[in-house]
Amino acid sequence: MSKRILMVEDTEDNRQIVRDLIATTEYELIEAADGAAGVTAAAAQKPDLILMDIQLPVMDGYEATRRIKSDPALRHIPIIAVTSYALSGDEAKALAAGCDGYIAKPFSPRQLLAKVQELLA
Amino acid sequence: MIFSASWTKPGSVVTRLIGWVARLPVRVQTKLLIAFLSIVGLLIVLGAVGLQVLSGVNDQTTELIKLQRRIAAYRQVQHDTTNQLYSISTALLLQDERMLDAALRQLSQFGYDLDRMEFVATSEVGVLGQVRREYDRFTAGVRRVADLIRSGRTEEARKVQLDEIMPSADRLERLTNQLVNMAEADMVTAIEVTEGAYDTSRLIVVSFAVGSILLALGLGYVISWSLVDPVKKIEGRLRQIAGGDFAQQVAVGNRDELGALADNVNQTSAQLGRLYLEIETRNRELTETLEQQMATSAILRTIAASPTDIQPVLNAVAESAAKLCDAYDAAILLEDGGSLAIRAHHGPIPIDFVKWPISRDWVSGRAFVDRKTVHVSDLSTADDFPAGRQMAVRLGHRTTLAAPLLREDEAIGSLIIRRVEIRPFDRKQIELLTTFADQAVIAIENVRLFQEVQARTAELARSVAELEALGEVTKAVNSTLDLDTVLQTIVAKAVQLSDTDAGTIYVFSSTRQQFRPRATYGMSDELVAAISGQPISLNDPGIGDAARRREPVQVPELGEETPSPVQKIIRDAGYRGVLIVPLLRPNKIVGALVVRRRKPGEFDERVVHLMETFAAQSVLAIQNAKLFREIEEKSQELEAASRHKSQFLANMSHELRTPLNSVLGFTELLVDGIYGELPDRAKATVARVQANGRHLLGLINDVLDLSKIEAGQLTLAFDDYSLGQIVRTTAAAVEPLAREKGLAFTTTVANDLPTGRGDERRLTQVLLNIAGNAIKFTESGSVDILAGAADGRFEIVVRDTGPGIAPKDQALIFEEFQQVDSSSTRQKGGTGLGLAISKRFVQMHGGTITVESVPGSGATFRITIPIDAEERVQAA
Repeated sequence: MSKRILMVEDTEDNRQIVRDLIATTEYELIEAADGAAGVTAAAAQKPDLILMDIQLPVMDGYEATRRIKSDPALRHIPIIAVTSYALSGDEAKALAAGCDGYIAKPFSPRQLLAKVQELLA
Repeated sequence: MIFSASWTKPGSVVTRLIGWVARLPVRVQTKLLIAFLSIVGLLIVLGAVGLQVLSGVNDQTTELIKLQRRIAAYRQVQHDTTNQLYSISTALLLQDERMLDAALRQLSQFGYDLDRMEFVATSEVGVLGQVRREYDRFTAGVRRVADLIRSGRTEEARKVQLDEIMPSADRLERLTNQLVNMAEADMVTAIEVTEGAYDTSRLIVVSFAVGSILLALGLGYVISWSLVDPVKKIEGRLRQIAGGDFAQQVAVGNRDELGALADNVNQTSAQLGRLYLEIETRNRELTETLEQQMATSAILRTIAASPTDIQPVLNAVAESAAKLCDAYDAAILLEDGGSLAIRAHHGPIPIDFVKWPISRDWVSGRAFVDRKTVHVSDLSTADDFPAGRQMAVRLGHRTTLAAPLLREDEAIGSLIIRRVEIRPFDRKQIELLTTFADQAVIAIENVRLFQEVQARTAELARSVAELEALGEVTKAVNSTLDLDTVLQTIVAKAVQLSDTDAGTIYVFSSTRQQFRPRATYGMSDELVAAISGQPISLNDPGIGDAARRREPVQVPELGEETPSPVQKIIRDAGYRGVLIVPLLRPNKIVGALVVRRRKPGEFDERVVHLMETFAAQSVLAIQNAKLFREIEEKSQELEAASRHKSQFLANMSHELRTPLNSVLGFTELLVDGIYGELPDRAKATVARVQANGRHLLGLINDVLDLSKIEAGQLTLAFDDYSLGQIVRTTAAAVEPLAREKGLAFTTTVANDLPTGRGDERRLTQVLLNIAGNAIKFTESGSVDILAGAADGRFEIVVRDTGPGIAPKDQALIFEEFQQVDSSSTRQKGGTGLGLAISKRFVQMHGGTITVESVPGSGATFRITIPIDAEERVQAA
């Protein structure tokens, strides 16, 4: 069974880029448009990896990450934070919230894929 | 013993002798030596005489011995004769041969003895001849007898013996007896002679001995006296000198050391006499000076003890002047409106006036007018002193001396001393009086100066208090921006220094056109409440009036019917005097300072002036407070604006990057052929879109970094890093571009570089920027990166062979938005922010970044970073 990736991202363009990128691989993509939906989808779908945007409506990426990581059933799922370079200390904050990796926006799809493959290997 | 008290004067001969010895022009030792040698000479003579006598005695003794020997020889011959007779007689009796032999042997012995006798008694030649002849006869008889005996002719023999030998023997005996007697007689004579010689020599020796002793004694006596006498005289003289008599001279005839001593004593005595006289004179002078000094010091003490009161000093001066100038009295007169008034008097002569007009008609008056000492020996007959003469006749004084009291050549009075008899004052006394006059002037001056100083001191103390108060007010104005505190200080000091009881500072509100109390001092809460409730407009006859006229207004006595309601409240509270000073700015009324006094009365000019100063300070304080409030508001606004700007930039960059993320993401997917292989033209176009998108991203990032740095929001993330890794990362990023441009690109990293501590991402950003610029601006040649470490710092050098940077631009390139020229920006791209940001990052690490360049010969950028930047930054 192919590995499944949950992407929590509010911008449609960005979701499209990742969707097109993942379509070239054997991974399966699940999408959520805000933090709360992301937490729900994670609990329901139990993906193998989560790409978590930080600036999200309803619930931000840090909070969503903390929730997922506080659920024993989901704790093992690696989460890659996809953050804006604009806000200082994003990386440290993301790691503190429980993220396993970090990728700065604007990201290169090529690098994102490399990171994903590294974590799912 | 000689120097004892039993000393008596020797006789006149001896005296002359002693005198003669004393006058001998030789030294005492020589005299003593001569005496000694005389005595020794006498002793030598005595010895010689003694020896002479002794040798005479010796001769006599020898003579006696010779006589004794002769006597012995005579007796021996007598004895021999007897023995011979006996032997022959025996031989005749016994007729023994042996006897005969013995008799014959004795005969030869007899011969021998006779020879000896002849030898010792050569002087008795006649008798000795008889003896010899008799002896021959005797020996011949003996021999014959012997022969007869031997031949047995005894009878014959006996006959011979009897007839010849025995008479011969008798004759011999007689002869020898005669000799013995003669010798004994000689002996007796000789003994007598000897005894006589002995007596004579004893006499001589004794006389010489006695003579010597007498001579020695005599010499000793004379010499001693020749010494003792002058010594006694000198001693006596010295005793006189000790007793203080220097007039006498000591007369000593000696021409020896004692003479010299006496001369010295005389000289010394004369010298001492002179010195004594000098000392006595000096002593007398000193005593006088001392007395004067004591008087002076007594006066000075009095001056010091009574700095404000002149009277004790004048009394002391008068008393001392009378005493030390040997006058009956002394008086001090001081100028007093055209007269001289008696200010001090000491002594029994009366003075029957209190003041006397100044004129040359009397002594003190003339001394004053002429400014000279005036000395009159008999005033009672001095016609040129008409008034003075009358005084003298009336009061009974005669000799009069007056000295002017001069202050800087100006007469202020006179000092006069008087005597009831005619006895002029001597030079010293006149001088002394002048001195006393000077002292009186000093005392008077002293008092004047003291009073002046006191007045000045009081004035100064007041000024100091005012200055201190102003200082405190100024300090309050400058140190605290709390207006109420400042105004409180001002009003308190104003009340204290104006010697009033209460004060208020009013502030004028231009909107309400009213004065309202802002600070008060010395007022009860009720009174403060009462005046606060009373609006004061510009029409108020007190405060309003002062503000309108723009000058201080004072009310010395608040009346019952005051038209100002607030002044009525004040009057009811018990205040009478009010001073109002308006607080003014050009064309503006700021408020008013009011001080109030319970006592009625005019406020003097000084107080008004002081209050104006306080008013000015109050205006300043109010102004300051207003300005400060405005500044504070402005700075708060600025701070908010700055915050908004940072937030705006952060938001803005996020907002800009979200679409940029899509652009770059899709472009990359296109380039990577996710959407299928693109036609070549499209591929090139997409690559340009991608490049421009990246450039835009760089711009956005730079602006964001810089704004964060400006806002102080950018902090370094310190961690261990490897400089070698930074260089490798940089090289990997820029090398493709260098290769594309055909540049030689090298990196040289020193071996064994230590691990650094700093923000690796920011340091990489710096090196990327510098190296990227170098490649960007270099068209041909090489770009080299060198990394090393020394003295606790990393050094990274980036060297290129580009166009270089002109000296005037070398400092500018590190400023924001600067490039060597704008055309290059257009050519090369870039925001002009890279170097500014790099410099900030390096500085945040405690490092430096510099450039060396000669235009046309490339540029060298040199970056130094502390190896442990974290420690450095924290320590700084």
